[in-house]
Amino acid sequence: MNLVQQAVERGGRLTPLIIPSEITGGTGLMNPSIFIDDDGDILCVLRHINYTLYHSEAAQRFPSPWGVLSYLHPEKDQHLRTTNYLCRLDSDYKITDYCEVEMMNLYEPIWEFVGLEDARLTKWEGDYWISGVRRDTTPHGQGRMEVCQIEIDKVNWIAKEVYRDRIEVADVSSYCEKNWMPILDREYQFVKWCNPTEVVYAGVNPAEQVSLLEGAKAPVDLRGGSQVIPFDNGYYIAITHEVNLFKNYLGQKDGIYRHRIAVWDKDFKLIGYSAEPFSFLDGQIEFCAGLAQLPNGDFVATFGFQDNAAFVLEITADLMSEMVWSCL
Amino acid sequence: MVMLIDTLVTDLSYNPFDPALNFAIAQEYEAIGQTASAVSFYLRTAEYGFDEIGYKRELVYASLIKAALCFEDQKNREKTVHSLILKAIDYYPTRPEAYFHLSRIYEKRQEWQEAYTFASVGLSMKEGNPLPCDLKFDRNYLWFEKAVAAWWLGRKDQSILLFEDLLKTDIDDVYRASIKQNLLNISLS
Repeated sequence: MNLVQQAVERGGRLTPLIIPSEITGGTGLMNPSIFIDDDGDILCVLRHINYTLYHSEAAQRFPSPWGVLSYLHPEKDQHLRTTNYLCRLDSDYKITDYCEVEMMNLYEPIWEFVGLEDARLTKWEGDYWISGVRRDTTPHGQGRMEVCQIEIDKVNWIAKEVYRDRIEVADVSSYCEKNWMPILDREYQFVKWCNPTEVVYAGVNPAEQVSLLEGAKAPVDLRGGSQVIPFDNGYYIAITHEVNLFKNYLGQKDGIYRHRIAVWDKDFKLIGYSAEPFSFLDGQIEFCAGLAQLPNGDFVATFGFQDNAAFVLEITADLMSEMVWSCL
Repeated sequence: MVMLIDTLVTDLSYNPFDPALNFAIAQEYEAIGQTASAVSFYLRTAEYGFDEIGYKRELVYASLIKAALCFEDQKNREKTVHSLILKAIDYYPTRPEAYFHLSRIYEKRQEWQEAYTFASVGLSMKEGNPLPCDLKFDRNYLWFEKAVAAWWLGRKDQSILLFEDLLKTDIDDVYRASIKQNLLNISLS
């Protein structure tokens, strides 16, 4: 049973996240991240891309000219561009306000992937931050996490980047650092790896290791997904992803993404994870980049479907508790 | 509209591989211009409906053409549009709709023999079972494509005859205006 079905049967609900196609040109909206602000506002960063994922899934009967899993950018523009929209949701999770996050124009992008990808929203020391990977600063697409402070004018609904830090790592030859999960209540700290769990502090550059703890042995590489949020006084949880990448007999790439809940103790030792991976809607390509707890105790998780659609799923507190405790 | 998508996608969680449900979601997304989302669900319709050669055959065929039209709407994805139309023809070669869209692609490329030929092939096909949605097709549109291409292939008389015959039909106003303009241009040439 997929997670949406489980959540709905237990009183949750699923809501699509959509901003008008007059603004986006109809191309993909994906991998949203959700955050509950101190004033109760439900905020969401929604990734818009200038391409459309063409995915001939399952038996692969109708592949594109470029394969079964292809990012179809405009044929006269090789770039895969990302922009981010800051949205405010009402209590039914409908978008009431949205604006493109105005990023600082620091340089001319020099690689095909342009923009801050899969940005997660946090608030540290009273400031809003979005963190994600950027790959457009080198000629070969080296990826580094960037933390970007944004100012939000909630009256006129304007969001703009005011500060950016590109986080270097000790291994400067590392090709792509991405999907670090920001820890909601620890300023500038991220879970960089899950197994063993490495926590880093990105308030300095390069980032410094805060802890590296062996914990529960997961059978797969638990990769970053949502933010890491406190749970039940003393634990931390996140929704992680794992990916099975494979090729068909023609050597064409395909993949299946699945998710698990990861549970840490207060010292960030991994103490549990979902015994079985789960899907949100049984799509092959799904990605969760957001998790938050509502003031009433329920949870909301945000995910992208086939890189072309975005949803928020409400999960009741009791279901989430069951899922978390079953990890231990 | 968004509310309907809520309901449909929630239903989908119970039947994620149901072609008709995927198709319904695709249509709702397309109706609000969310063509990327629509493409995903049209492609799922085609993949998961493929084995059905009964009533779902039209659903798969329509999905391939609709996915093509979504990419056309996004602009600058001509190879993908072309490929999807060819897939639709391959899947259901005895229906005329995809041939019209293929002929139209060649017309835009000014590849007149191809436009003419595939209009002719389309005209030799019968519509058959009802389709689950409008595919922007009318048999007269095939005649129109043939008439346009005929002119550029040096078949002036046939072109005029076809255009004049089309004016006697109930072809829609956009095409009617274009036919009149074409006939005017021909008379001036």
